Amino acid sequence: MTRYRVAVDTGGTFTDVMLLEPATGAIQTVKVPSNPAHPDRAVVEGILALGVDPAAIAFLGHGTTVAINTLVQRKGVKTGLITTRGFRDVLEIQRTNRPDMYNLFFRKPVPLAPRNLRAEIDERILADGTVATPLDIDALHAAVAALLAQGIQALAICFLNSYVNPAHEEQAAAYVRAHFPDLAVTASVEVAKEWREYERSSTAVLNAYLTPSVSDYLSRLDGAMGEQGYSGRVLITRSDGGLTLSRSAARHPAIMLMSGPAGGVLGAAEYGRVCGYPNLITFDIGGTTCDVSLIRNGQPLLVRDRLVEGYPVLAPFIDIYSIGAGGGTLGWVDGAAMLRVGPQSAGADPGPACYGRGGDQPTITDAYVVLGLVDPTRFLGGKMPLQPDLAHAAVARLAAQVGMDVPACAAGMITILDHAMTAALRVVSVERGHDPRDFALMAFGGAGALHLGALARELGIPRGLVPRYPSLFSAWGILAADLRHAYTQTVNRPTSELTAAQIAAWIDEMIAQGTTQLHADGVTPGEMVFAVSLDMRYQGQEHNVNVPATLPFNEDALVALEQSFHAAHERAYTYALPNDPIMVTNVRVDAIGRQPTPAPQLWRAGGDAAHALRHRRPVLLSLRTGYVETPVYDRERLAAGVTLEGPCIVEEPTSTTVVQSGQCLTVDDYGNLVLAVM
Amino acid sequence: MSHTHESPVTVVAQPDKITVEVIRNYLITIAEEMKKVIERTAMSPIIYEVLDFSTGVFTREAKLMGQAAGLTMFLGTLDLAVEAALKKFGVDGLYPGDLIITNDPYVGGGTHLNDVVCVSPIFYQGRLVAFGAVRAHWLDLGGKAPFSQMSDATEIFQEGLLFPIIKLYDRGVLNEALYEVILANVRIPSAVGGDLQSQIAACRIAERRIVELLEKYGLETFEAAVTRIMDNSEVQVRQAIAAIPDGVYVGEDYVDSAGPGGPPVCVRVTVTVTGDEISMDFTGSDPATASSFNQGWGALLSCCRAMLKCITTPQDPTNDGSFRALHVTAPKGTCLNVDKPSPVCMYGELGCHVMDAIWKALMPALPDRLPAGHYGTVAAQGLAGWDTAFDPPRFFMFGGPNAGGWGAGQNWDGENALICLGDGDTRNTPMEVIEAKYPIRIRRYELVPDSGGAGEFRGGLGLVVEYEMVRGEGLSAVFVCGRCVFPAFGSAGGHDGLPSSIYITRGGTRGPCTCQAAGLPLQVGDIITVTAGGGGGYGDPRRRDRARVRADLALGYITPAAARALYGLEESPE
Repeated sequence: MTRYRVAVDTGGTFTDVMLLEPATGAIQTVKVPSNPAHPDRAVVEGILALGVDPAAIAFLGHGTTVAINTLVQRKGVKTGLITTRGFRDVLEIQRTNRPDMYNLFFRKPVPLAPRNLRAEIDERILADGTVATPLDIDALHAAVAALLAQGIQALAICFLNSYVNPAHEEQAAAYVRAHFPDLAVTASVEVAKEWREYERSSTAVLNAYLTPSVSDYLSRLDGAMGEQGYSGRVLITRSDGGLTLSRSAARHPAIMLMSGPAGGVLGAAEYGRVCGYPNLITFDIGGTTCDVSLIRNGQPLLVRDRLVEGYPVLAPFIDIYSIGAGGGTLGWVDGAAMLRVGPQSAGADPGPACYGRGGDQPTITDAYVVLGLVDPTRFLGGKMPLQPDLAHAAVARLAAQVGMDVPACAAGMITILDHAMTAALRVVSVERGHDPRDFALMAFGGAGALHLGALARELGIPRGLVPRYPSLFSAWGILAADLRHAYTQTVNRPTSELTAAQIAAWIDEMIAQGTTQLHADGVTPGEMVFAVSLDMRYQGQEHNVNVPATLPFNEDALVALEQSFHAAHERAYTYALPNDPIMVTNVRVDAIGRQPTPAPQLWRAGGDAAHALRHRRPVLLSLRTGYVETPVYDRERLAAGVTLEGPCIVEEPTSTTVVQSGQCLTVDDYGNLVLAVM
Repeated sequence: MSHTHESPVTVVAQPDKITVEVIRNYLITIAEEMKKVIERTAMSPIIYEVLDFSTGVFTREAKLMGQAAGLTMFLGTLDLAVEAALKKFGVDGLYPGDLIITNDPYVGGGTHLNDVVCVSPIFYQGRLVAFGAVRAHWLDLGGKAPFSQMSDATEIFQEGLLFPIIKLYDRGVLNEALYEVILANVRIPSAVGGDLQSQIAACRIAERRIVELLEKYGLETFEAAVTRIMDNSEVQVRQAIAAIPDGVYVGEDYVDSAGPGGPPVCVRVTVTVTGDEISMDFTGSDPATASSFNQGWGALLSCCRAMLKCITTPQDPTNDGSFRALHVTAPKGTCLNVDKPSPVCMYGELGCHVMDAIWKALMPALPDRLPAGHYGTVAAQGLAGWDTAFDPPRFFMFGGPNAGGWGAGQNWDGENALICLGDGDTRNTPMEVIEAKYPIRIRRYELVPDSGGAGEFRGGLGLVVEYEMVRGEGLSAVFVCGRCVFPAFGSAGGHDGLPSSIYITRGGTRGPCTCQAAGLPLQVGDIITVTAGGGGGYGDPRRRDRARVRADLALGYITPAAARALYGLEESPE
């Protein structure tokens, strides 16, 4: 019996499903409309649309927006917070900053646990871990009972300095779970054992707030798949690109906030490794956002915290930088009659003018249509014809205000957006000390390949890449993902006060925890891998540089680590301070359970380009040359080894690749479109 | 990159609108990247957490092209420093690899001595084409009190090292004698050395990026685009000014006292709006004070520019064009335009009142843009001494501002615990970080009920923080806290906010303390209670929606007593 591997990625508009038959490497894809009210129904519908027996599925990986949507729509449950006496307002005071500093009406994000649902109890642990005041269990009981009377369904616990000594939090959490079993409880150290009380409280509260909804969703999905005959486990994509069992994810939704975009970047890393592109800058353009990331030596870069909807979350995330730029991004005119683009978007509803759903403001998609880049009759494989006259009218209104002609205005919108995206690509590369010319640029998402040539040229990147299945690439990434768990030990001591043996002991302890967890996940020892790294900085600095460590961790490894840190600091910030003391702030272990990876399949060779020529149509790629009859090719019929000279366009059902004049495009052995940029 | 096709002799047509927009965005990106480098590498919390710094790139004529600021008040004086450097050395006296430093409050657009500016000339094809500059607050520059902060200085020489406009690097070579003098005169040399490195790194980034931009577009296109960008900003600011009703508006505000026990200091401004021009005249303000509550010209100009920004184009990037419609005058000899040797280290507190005077003047004309007053002070404490946990004891300095309440407006309750207008994207120092790094324990960190001015719309709440000194020797405190006498002003019948205050509890006895202490001796066991005040209310509190009054009660933002007395709530809660 065939045992399939299936990945499902829920997006704002579509739920993408990809099926892999490991024996043959064959891949099948399905796109079904997402069901925002019941995302699990679209997941099941998509899987059934594959036409295979769910009982024959061996692996089901899922990228879900349920956590982020619950947060964005503020649909989490009523959540309480228990704190150390004197500190219940930490969640509301936050960091007190005003990022929008000239705005006299600035608002901080509203705390997810309001002041009346935050209770203080007596207990105190000092910065060195000693207990100054014991935990008052009776007060805890009374406080929780009072919060329950106010209707809370979830509870977070965050005590000062628990990152050093978690005893009180652990004791309190155990007590509450035992005596109030209906409450969803999160102790801050269970989600983030790091200092900074606001960030840790925020993570704990957000986790508690999301737990009931996410857990309901996951158990509905588990149940529904079970009814369809699927007997395996549902694995969820975490924000760091790893997979975790749905039952772990249900307790820890804070780790899956960026579930969707992470899949794509992870996929790019795996895919690039196999196809021979270990260094990639990726960009994923959908309707409203452009997600940019960088992969070095086949590894996506991780960050250990980020703001989500204004709330800090201490959890590992693939370092994805997002800007408001996509097919729905709006063009507009400012007070000085200058053309501006974004970051506002027409969203999915009403969407671009050419969707004919009542939108009358010009979007980037309208500009594509005006310029002939997108064939209105073949949008989404012909399932959703666009209305070019509406696109033209919308752009024409803007052009008149700016004082440009229509094609110049449409081309200008795209140029400005290209530069906004170039700036984003620079943030992840140049600003972090990476020369973009050392990387290949990979485009995915529905609109990525339209911009690939222009962005590569702007950044001086010689090679662009469009993988197979660009608009379902996140699903491919899920098929390539591994199981993952992250562990952190905060240290905060200079290297001169640390021995390699001490560090090795922390590493061993975290590896032991990881081993236990992966074993429970059903991973065999041969499939376990542990990635160890240290957060380091010069004494006195506040921000860390994360440096990978080698095992066994002995004195030589410690010396090598210091050298790597100096080098990494110099690369990122132009200088190193080789005589300054170095602090180790955290030791980190990522426990990875390897999963079988779908090897990209060799693409068929033979046949010339003419065979794949679909038609010619007028396309404007440069204002200098205006509209030019441009050949349009069908990607499915382009064989490996074929080379096309720009200008030309390559179409597939849900993506369009633009090859500019002076660029040439080759189909490689795996069927990737490889763009050579002069 | 291989874009070398633009030769400097090419005659270039006016750049198209798209190129202008691209260059505009790129300039902002450069300043932001400089900011990121500083934030990530600096050694002093006042830089990496408080973000007491700003970065910018300038034309070869020292006009601001693009800027990123961490502080509101740092908006507009970097250009004066660049201009001063250009004037002193001349185009022919500047070379690649030069780095000029200055903190001169009287001629270099300086603010107070702690704020040291680094300026680097940028060359392309052998020509001076631009400048990069960074201003950052150094934790300490020597002087008579830790932090180089004291409200009671009588001349600038007590406040620390003054750098005239001098080269720290000449053609890439460090002036080591100067560097050693600096390190020998500051209390924590390692932090100063590290901070300086990070400023230099940001200047180097500016240089790299400007050259990349020029390689791509050529100098003529670039400069034509920059001119256009500035002109466009000017147009937008003028449109916003034109929307303010023409008129002459007078505002007056008071500093609690010029140094501990000193008299209040009056800041008076006459704002005149005529069409699309705005002038701010500080004639009538008090003369230079016998304390460090004074400002040099650059500091005053920066405060005025920041306030203009708030009421015109708060979300737009800033450049030279943003300020062309603004005219500022302050007679020499007033506390807002002093000469050497008047001390200036409290320029920031004075600046809060400069901005508030402009705010008060225009509040009646712009009721939808200017809410009631906020707590309006940095409310900072500096705690220093020798930490005896180390052998030998190690000198520590912990300092930082506190957040308070903001003002209410039409249909708008003020925000709670938000940093003051003079500060900006300024973060507090986490309590766990304070406890881990310094011999200090935090006893509480809370919002203060009833601190927001009552009103139909309520002022935001201030906060209280209690520090206990748990060990150490030679402990002392600096307090820089205003509005302890004159609280945040209400608007349209709304009440004032709660004033700020500082108390010290010693041996179980709690007593009020001057809010302007400089080098106040402390003992182990002392508890310092800093309360940053609340924001002003808007409108008559008796007209406040009853549901909102009850919600405030439930949240504990107001007490039952205040609900009855100020809001006239009849029913008793629960």
